[in-house]
Amino acid sequence: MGVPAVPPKAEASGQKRKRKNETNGAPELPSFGPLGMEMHSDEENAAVGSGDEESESDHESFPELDTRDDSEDDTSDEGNDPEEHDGSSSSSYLLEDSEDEVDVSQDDVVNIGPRATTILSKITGRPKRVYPEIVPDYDSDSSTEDDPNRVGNIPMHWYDDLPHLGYDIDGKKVLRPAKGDELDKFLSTVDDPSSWTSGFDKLTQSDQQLTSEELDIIRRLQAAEVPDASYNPYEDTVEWFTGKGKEEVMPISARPEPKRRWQPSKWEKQKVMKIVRAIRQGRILPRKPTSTQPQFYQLWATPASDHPPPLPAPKPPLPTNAESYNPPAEYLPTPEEKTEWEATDKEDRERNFLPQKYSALRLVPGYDQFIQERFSRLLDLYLAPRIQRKKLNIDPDSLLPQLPSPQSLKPFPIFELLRQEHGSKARCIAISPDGVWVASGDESGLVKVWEIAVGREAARYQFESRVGSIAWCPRDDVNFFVVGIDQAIHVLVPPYIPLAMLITTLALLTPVNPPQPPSSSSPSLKWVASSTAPVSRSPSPLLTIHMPPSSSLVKQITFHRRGDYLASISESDSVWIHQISKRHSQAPFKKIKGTVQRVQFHPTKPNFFVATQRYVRMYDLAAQKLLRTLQSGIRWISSLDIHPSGDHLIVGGYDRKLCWFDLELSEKPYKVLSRYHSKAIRSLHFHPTYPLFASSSDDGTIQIFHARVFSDYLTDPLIVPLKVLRGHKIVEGLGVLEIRWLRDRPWLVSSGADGVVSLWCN
Amino acid sequence: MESNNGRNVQVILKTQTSYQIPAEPYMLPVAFRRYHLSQLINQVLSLPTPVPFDFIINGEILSSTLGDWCVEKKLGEEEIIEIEYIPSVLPPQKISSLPHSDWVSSVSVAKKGYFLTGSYDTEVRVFNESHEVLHTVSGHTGPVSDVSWIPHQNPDAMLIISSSYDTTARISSIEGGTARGLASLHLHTASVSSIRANGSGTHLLTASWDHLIGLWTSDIPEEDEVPVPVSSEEPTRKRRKLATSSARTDVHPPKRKAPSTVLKSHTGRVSKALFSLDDDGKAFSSGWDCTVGLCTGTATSPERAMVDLALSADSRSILGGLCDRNVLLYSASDFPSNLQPIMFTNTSAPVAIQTHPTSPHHFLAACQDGMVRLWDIRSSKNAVASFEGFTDVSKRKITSVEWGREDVVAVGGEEGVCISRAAIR
Repeated sequence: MGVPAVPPKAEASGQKRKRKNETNGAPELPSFGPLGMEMHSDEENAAVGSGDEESESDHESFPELDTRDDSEDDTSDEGNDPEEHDGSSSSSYLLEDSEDEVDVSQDDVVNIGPRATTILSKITGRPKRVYPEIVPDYDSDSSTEDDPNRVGNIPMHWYDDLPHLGYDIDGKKVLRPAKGDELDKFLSTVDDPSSWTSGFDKLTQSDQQLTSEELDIIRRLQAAEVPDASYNPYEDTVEWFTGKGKEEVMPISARPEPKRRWQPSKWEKQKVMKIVRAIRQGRILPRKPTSTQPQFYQLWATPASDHPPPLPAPKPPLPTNAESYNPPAEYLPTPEEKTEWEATDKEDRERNFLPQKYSALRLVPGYDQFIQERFSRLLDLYLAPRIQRKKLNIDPDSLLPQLPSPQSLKPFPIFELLRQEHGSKARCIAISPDGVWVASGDESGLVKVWEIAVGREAARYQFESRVGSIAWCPRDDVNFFVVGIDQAIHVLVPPYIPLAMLITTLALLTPVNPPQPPSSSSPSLKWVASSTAPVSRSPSPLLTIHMPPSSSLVKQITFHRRGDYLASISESDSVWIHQISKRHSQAPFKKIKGTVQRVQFHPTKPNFFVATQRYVRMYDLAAQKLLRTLQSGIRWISSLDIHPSGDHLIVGGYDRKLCWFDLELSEKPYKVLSRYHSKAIRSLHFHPTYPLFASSSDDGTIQIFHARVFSDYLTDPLIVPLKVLRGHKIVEGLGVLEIRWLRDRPWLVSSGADGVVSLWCN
Repeated sequence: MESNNGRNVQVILKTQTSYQIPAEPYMLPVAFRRYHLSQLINQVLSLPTPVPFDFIINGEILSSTLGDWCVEKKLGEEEIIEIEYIPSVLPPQKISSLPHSDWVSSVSVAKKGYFLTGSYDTEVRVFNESHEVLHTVSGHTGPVSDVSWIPHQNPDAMLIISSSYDTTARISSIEGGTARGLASLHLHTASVSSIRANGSGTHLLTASWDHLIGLWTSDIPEEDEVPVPVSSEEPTRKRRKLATSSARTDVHPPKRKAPSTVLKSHTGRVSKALFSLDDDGKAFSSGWDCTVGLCTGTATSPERAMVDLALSADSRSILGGLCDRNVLLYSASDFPSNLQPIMFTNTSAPVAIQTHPTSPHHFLAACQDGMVRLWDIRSSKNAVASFEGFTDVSKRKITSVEWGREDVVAVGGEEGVCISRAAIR
């Protein structure tokens, strides 16, 4: 069988190339008949010499293999599918005994595996393939193949720097073959027609010509065929058990055939009919589209449901001492209680068990009520609707007071109509009662009188030191204003007053027979009338009140509503009340606790308010006693004003707070407005006729408030913030120093530390 | 952009002036501006000299392209835009100035060739066209608040009326180069804010801060109608001394005149009282109690002070300047039954307003910020033109403005008088 294909071993272990030459040179070796046919039909190897092909196929039948060897494992090296072998060989094993060799040549068979020979089976009379048997000796191991380089499967670049490639079986160095340059390589591709069928062998570091079997395998793989050339995918069916002459005439078992073999199933029919009925009734739609929803959808496209998530079930109460298996003695029921518990109905029992005592947990019997209890709990959970109750269900907006919109509370000042510039900080302002003139004084001692709507400066008075305070007499029949400078209060007459008014003013201030100061008057305080003839634009004051030399700068002057009395406070905390008509001054307080910040006459009653650093005291001037003390809670009071009705009082502090006192109500503030100014409040003023008040602050803003006071004592005052007027700059930390309203017009005059006196209009 | 360029809008061009074109809709490209529209009208009318026009849409002067305007107002393409066009106003030009030592409270250019100014230094001055002081009329003891000419049949007669802060008003005349006070009007107890004569010069109206309006004849009485007040001696002596030292030099003291009627309708300061231009029986007044008054009725705009009043040249509209930065326009024909004023909003409060002597559509509003704004009453949203009264930044306050014939605008204020030219076609 395979005998002619077995070459001597020594020959096989030589170099392939050499071997090829030898085989070429030794055509006398026996060869198979079919190979000749094969050579003709092999179109792939046309370029390769035919003799080559022939010898190749000779040698490629494994020399190690014995034709009798039936181990197929070794053939896997050569790329043959072992299973195919298996199939083919198993078929042949069945007919092992008949070894009638028939040299039926197969077309196109180039096999590098163990060469199968096709023989004619003796039993069936058909051709069959028989593989050479493999003898399981040393030679059958493919690892002992004739490889010149025995370094094994290592990365060959380890030998890159060495002159040899490895070692042969005898331990001799295998020298690196001479390697041509690129030109040689190119020439070899041009000259050698077989160079395109060669491949680089790493072990020998040289080009090796591929055998025709290998090329055939490549071709088959490229053509997506089975690489095994000997495999026939279109083999004829072998009828082993069927077919003519092979019918089974006798049954295998004598058992009678069951009915179900030929009778249609009743249950199947019922099932089918059920489905058919469902289809007819439309309960099942055949070929219904599986789902109309798209496979992918936007997860967040639909808004989350407004249903609250299902509430978790309330937890069962934790066991108490009574439920313990070993409760304290006081929990154990007395016999009376026990009988009473047993006597009551199940529904009326306070608890559904009786505490019992066991000495050990292992003695506790099973709880026979478990199922019942669990059922009742689930029933409770099922039947009782669970809702989450909010603690407080109040609309937060309803808690806010309903304030009218500022638009409905017009008029109030909204924009700056004009401004008057001073060179230094404009400390104080006063407005004439007829609303024509504004007097503004600054730190350089300049007092300007200017016309309110025009802005023209009508008169200016220059004093030596800074102006502490200005106040205009509120009387309508006379027209004069007073200026506090140093320790003196000067009485000045504005220009352009009508003749009749000038006459009465002069008659009041400089009467022909000046009244003698009463004996009770302080001797250190002098009233000095101007000696020169008073002219309307006279820069010199008509009358001067010289305060006692111990006092310092007059920081506030305020008139009584009748215009005859005026109160002044100095920085040395002395309070004086002066009477113009009698030229009389008196100090109402012998001793004052704390620094006096502001004083104010009550608009209707003979009361007098004195604001010290922390308290506002209200005195009765007629009875000469303290009426009440108002506790503002302000750390340092800066300003104070009284509502024209006389029942309300606002107090502003350097700590940004503004307190509204209802004098009828309490000695504590009715309302504290502390969020409107970011810095100290400097000045406050109630509008004499409109329900407005304003506050100015060191943050450079003026806040306009609507303050409606109701005549009935039931309704609380309505305070609405209306407008923030901005425009004053902050100079050295000081903002708007004083604000004053016009008497009959919702206009506001403000003086700032930036030297600007502004008129704000509605 | 391409579609924008290619689009058209349908417009109807109308006018109330003599430049009429056929009133039919035109399809105009949206890229048209004022200049293109003006050219279009000039071409349609084939005017010998080109006249520039301004275009008003819904009371607003067109300042951008038609397309931009449509986009801004969100108008569709199909809508027909009605555009009114008026001959445009030349930008006002400053001509000269009459410097004064003190503020000028009032200026009048009604008499041709003369400028009459009233100053806070109590003097009334008459300037000629070459800005020389011809006459100085003294006599007031307080700042002059208003000056005006009395119209007279004889154009050479120079009768001046002036009102003052000293509670009086005066009639003075200039005869033969000397100024002489003819009469002083005694009624008011507070500053007189304005004095005006009617068209024929027979009657005078004074407005005062004491809430009264006085109606006077312009006749000069033979004797004092109001006695000299007798009061305590000393102030009178002082007063007389004062007056003597200031001005009184003439031997004939002005006659003390009493009003023929006193009108008490205002509850606040009266800022202006005017005769109607076409009907001597009608007069208007404005006050700080925010009312515009007529003999028969008042219009009240609450809580806002009306600082000045003016009547348009055709007496059809009454203009009132408010302290809250608005100018109100009332229709005079149905006043005061129809009180729906048109509002012209300035950026600053007006101190004086003045209408054009001939054009019924234009008026000037002099504002607190030193700008004089020229308005067309057909364009209520924005002013046609504006110019600075005085250029000095620190002294730019304006107190009065007057628009005389030949387009002369005289602005009185902190620095004196500034004369400009604002021409209306």
